[in-house]
Amino acid sequence: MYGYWKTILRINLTDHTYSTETLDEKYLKLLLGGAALGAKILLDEVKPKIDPLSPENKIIFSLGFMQSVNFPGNAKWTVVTKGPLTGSFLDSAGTGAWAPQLKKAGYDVLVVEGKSEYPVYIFINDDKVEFRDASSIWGKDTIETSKIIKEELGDKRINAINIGPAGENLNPIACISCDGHSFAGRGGAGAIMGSKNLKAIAVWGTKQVPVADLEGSQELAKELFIRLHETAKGGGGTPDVMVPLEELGDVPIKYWRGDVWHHGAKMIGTPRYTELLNVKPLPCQNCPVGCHRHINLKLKDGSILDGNGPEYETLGMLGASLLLDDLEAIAVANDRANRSGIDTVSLGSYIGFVVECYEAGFLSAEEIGMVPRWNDEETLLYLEDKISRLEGIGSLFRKGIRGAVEIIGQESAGIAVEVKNLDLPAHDPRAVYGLAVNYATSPRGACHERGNPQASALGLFYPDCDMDSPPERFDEDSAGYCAYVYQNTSMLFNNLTMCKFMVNNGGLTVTEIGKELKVSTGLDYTNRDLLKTSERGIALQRLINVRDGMSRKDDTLPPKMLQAAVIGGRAGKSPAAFDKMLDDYYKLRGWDENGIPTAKTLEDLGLEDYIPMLT
Amino acid sequence: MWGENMVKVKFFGVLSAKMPEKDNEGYWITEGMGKTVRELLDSSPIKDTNIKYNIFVNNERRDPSCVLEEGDILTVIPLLAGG
Repeated sequence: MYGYWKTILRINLTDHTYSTETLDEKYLKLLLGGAALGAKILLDEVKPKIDPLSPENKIIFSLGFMQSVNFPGNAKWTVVTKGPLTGSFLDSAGTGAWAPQLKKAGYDVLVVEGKSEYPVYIFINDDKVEFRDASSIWGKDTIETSKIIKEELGDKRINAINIGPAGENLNPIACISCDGHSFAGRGGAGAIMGSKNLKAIAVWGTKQVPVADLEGSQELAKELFIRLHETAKGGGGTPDVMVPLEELGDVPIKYWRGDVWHHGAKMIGTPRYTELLNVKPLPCQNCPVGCHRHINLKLKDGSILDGNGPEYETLGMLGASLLLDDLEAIAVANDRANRSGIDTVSLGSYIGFVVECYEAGFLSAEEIGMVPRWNDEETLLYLEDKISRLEGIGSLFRKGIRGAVEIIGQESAGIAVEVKNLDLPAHDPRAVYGLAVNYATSPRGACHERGNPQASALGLFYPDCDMDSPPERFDEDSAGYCAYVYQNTSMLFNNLTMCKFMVNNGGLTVTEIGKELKVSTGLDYTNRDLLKTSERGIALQRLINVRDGMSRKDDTLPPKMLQAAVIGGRAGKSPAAFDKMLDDYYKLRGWDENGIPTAKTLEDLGLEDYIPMLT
Repeated sequence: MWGENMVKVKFFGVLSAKMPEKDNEGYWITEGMGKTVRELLDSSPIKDTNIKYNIFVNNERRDPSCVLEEGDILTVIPLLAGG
């Protein structure tokens, strides 16, 4: 089997040692890599119900075959760990050249365990691993850190993933940054690095993993790159969807209480976004699509903001959800969040929660430190600072939004919009019922990436995967199926550690992914075989959740999601038949009525080794 | 109406509003045999759209240069799914 080194690099931070191990080829074939392989390692090696911030937790970085040559969208890596918000399975993906470099260094998987006595960063340089004192960069922001490490290692080409002050401070919404360019954003993986006194991981590699057909792989990669670029060029990045999604009722408005925001969506979406922020595409390595935006903006105080622009999710949660139509303010808050290293989705959710708790009388202006308002730059920047530092009112969120509800009182629970303590991202499940099931069942909590049924509402589907059309978005009978199908395709991209925008925006097909697999690894998988790897990964992730005590009782929706809009693209709609949709989903997955995978399901998936875990 | 030289066409998602007259299965049935996909779409209501899209013929992705045969089903999927 080609395309993989079949090698794990294991690093112990407690005693600053490292070793390599051989990956089990049977499971590589069953799972292909990424989030599925990471889940297997987590399930095998990390005990249930541990404190995610303890040295017992491990942090696993996992790749797939895509990094074997320059396949489009392969600058992607997955991190798997126990997350601080859910206390259970977490995977998160970031982009950047770090992933191909780790492959070139000779590894498919990196497992980091234990805890260093003092701040360190790791430098993986092909076969060598160095533990470097990071005391002098502890406290530096993500962009400064990246720059300092490149200077210290004497090569600008060396990539370092790192955490900012938020991760050091164990903020449960801390990200892992890759060169300040991209973030493994959701679920708090940055706090796990912080808990291990691990500031950064730099990597440099020079090796070519053996592939089945090197020339064929390189030709296919080039051919696909040209075609995907031709298809996607000229797009406006993720802000392109703000206006059409708002028309569908898919955008969070006034912390999920508003129905429409037509004017605001036009103020913060494209084309205004492109014009006002002086935008240029900011592609990752080997990316023909270029969804990220570089912005250059003269601010009100005369300074220049030159860096990453806000993505759609940030526009949704710091803009629409707060009724803030000031793009400059959103861009500034986004830049601060990137530097501190926090997830802008949960940040926006926490701010909306505070404003609404104030209006409901659950929090006072004295407790908050100001009178919070909607559509207010000062509210955004003040609360961002507090939440980022977990100071003052921000300290409420040390254990996420559920922790804040515990402190404020259960009467505030109806305001919070989360599943399994992970805040909903900027897509409204009342606008796409399949998304409701997807949020409820996503193993890391409410997630639009581990299943993207929201894309079905815009017309995206997979004709080469036995689909004739996307499910109708308000159809109760197909909502479970919708979640099932779109989770399987998303999981495939996460297993391969490939950027989903190659498919969603570049037009890459699952059939073509199979061709990439064949020339790289020699494996000849049908599209159904490929999607079976997704089913296995989802089953393993579910087993981690189940072993940590989760079941149907945790597959829920926030109360606000059952309130229908009066006007707009989802007027009169809510997923009221949610229980039935969930039943349908469980049946498709082969889980029992309580959401537990059955022994037969595990056997059918080739995961017999895990059947004893069910007893 | 279905007949010789005809193909079935369907636009999805944000492009669906541009669909011409549909049959009871939601397809636009038009004379397309011998035309390339590009020629057919350039004379369709989406000829001026700035929305990117992917093309499938009989559930297989095809380039715009693909020549259509009688009875082919042409599926046009918008590529607009950010965030």
